[in-house]
Amino acid sequence: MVNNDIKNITDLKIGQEGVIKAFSSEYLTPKMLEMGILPGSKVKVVNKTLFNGPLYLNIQGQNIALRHSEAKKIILR
Amino acid sequence: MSKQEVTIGLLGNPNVGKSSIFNQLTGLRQKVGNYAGVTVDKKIGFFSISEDTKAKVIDFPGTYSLYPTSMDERVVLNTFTNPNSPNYPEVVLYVAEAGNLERHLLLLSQIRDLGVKVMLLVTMHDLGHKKGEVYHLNELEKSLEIPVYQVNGRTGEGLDAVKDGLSTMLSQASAPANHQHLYHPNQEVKAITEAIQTDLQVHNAYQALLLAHHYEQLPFLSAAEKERIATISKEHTFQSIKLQVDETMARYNEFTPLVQKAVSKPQEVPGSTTEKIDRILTHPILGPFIFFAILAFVFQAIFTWSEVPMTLIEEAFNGMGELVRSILPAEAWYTSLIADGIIAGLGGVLVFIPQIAILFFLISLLEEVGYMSRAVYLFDSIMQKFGMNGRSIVALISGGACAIPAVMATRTITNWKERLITIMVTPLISCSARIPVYAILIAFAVPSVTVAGFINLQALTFIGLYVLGAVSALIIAFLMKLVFKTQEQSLLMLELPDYKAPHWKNIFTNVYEKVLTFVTEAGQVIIVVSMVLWALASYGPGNSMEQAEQTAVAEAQAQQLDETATADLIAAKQIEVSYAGMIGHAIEPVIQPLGFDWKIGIALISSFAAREVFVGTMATIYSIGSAGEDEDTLRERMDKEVTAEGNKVFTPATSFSLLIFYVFAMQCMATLAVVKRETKSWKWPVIQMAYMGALAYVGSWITYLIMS
Repeated sequence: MVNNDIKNITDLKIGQEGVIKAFSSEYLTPKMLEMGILPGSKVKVVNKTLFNGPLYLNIQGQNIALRHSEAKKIILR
Repeated sequence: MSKQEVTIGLLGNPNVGKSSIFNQLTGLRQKVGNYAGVTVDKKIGFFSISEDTKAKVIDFPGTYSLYPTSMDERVVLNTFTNPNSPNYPEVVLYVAEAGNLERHLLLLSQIRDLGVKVMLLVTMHDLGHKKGEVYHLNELEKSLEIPVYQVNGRTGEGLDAVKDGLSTMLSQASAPANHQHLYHPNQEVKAITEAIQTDLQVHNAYQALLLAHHYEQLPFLSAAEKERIATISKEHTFQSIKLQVDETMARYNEFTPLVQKAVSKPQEVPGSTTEKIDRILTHPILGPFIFFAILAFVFQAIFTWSEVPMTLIEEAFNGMGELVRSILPAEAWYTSLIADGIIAGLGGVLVFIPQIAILFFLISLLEEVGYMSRAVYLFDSIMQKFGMNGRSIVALISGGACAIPAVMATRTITNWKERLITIMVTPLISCSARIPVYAILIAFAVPSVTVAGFINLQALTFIGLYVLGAVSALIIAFLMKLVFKTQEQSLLMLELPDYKAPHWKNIFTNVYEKVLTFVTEAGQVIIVVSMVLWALASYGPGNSMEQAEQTAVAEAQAQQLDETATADLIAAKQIEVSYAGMIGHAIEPVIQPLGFDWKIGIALISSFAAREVFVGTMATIYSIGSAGEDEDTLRERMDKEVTAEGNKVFTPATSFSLLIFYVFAMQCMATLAVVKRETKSWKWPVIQMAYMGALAYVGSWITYLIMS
């Protein structure tokens, strides 16, 4: 059965919010943590760019741009 | 009485306002790395702590942790894992922003665990207070066991207390070694660090752990030491990434409760002003348009704002030349050297200081208010199509000012392939040194007429040359993307700092620094080149110069020329037989297909040192034997220049061909030296010079064929 509850940041629309559950890339995890992107952090999508370009996110009050491919690795609760 | 000097390190996350504090502490007592010479990757400044102690502050690059991803960040790791490094500071001033203390404390806790004496400077963001946050910094001081100060980088408020605190801290014998580390590794990790500590005689356990993580990249370790660490980590199956995640999480778990005690946050955080501005500025469709409008404004400003100061500088150099001629004896050889060689050459270039200053001013303004990172965000996906990174846009825009700082700005790009491509194409962006060349040649290439009612054709050509440079940069980048292969991951992960009002002192310092570099570096080259040129143009082999003069005088008498015309004729005949003339004639066959004569050849050769020398060279060649050193008279002289057949030398075809040559050719020793330094090999600057030279030659040749 497909679990519709598991989604990542790229599934959010502009203005929507979510809470980070985990990261699905070992390589990116420490870099996310360093920037203050932690499991349990609140995420809001502020803006997107055309053609699956980077996403403008507000994570726990700070603004961070992540590539589509990077944001895909952040699983939401 | 000689002062005792102590080394202080300024450290913190990127965008934390470290440079404001650096400028507040040191004023203009700063040194920056010499581009062409030795590698100095850091900014150094000085200030007085007390009557007998002077502080040397090193402004380290901003980084999030001691696990670097870029070249810039690596500097911090290399210094702090090597207590023998000359840059190893006695005290670290750690700058953190009140709004995001948790994240800022990560690196602080790592530095603290290394046993370095550290002071925490908390900057109060203007917006932090508005969000209704309340800070109890003494709580933090107690729990972290390090002195905490509240400072304001904008006004310098609180920095006196920091200096007093520094005095006290320096008088203490050593760091409070007894304080608890914030990260307590498990037995498995302890076994590794203890093995490294005994084996390599490292005092600090956390330092040993960092060696285990990064030994392959650390330059100060010997091959034998690396071998030892490799063996130890293999014995214990050291898993670098997993341990890094464990460590980072453990640190957050340790200090997050401390921060929560020290900062009380309001329940609801309203949408910030920055977000509201960014709904428009980073709008998916509107955003790029606004970006190009800003660029257009920048170029407009460079030309309109600089008019008045440029005229003033021109007049000043005119006056100076005349003054020299009136004071020094007219027949003395050095009068001509000073007036025609040095003053003419220097004036031709220093006149561009206003344009360069305006360009650097506007670029640092964009950087300072926080717009630059938005441009990175907007253009990342396009840049990736051309094998680059969103961060490349910063280098390419800065390349419009000067390729040297632009090439250095690529250090923030983690991926080597993306960084290399950016470095290779950045010099194709027309830099400020091309401005003088373009300015003087466009007048010959196109008439000053207005088309479509309001567009000046010369201005349009100017923009066209910039676009040509930018488009070729993208094309070459795309070709390089196809050639280079890499497995390395590419990252964006970019912080978009809150917009803030510009801090003028930072901008002023930056512009001052850049202009000073231009004046001293370009000035030195130009003085030397001007003098050499003057000598080459004023002397010839044997008595050829006297013979040329006699022929010219005889010819003038036959044609019954007046005094000025005779002097001009003598000068023309003499320069042709001078050493410079001989060199020019020697390369003439090579450049003839491009429409260039031997005089332009001399200018081409001399501007291989730096492009802006072209105008100085033309001024020197044309002013020897004739008056006038400002640009207008040089333009008039060039306009009068005719070939043996009586045709004009600077026809539209030749001028256009020359313009195209300057768009493409790699004529800047300093940039080549910086590229060599940044890529650590002569291979890349050589390839760069070769491909740009080929583009220049072929481009000019085709242009000349079409135009004539």
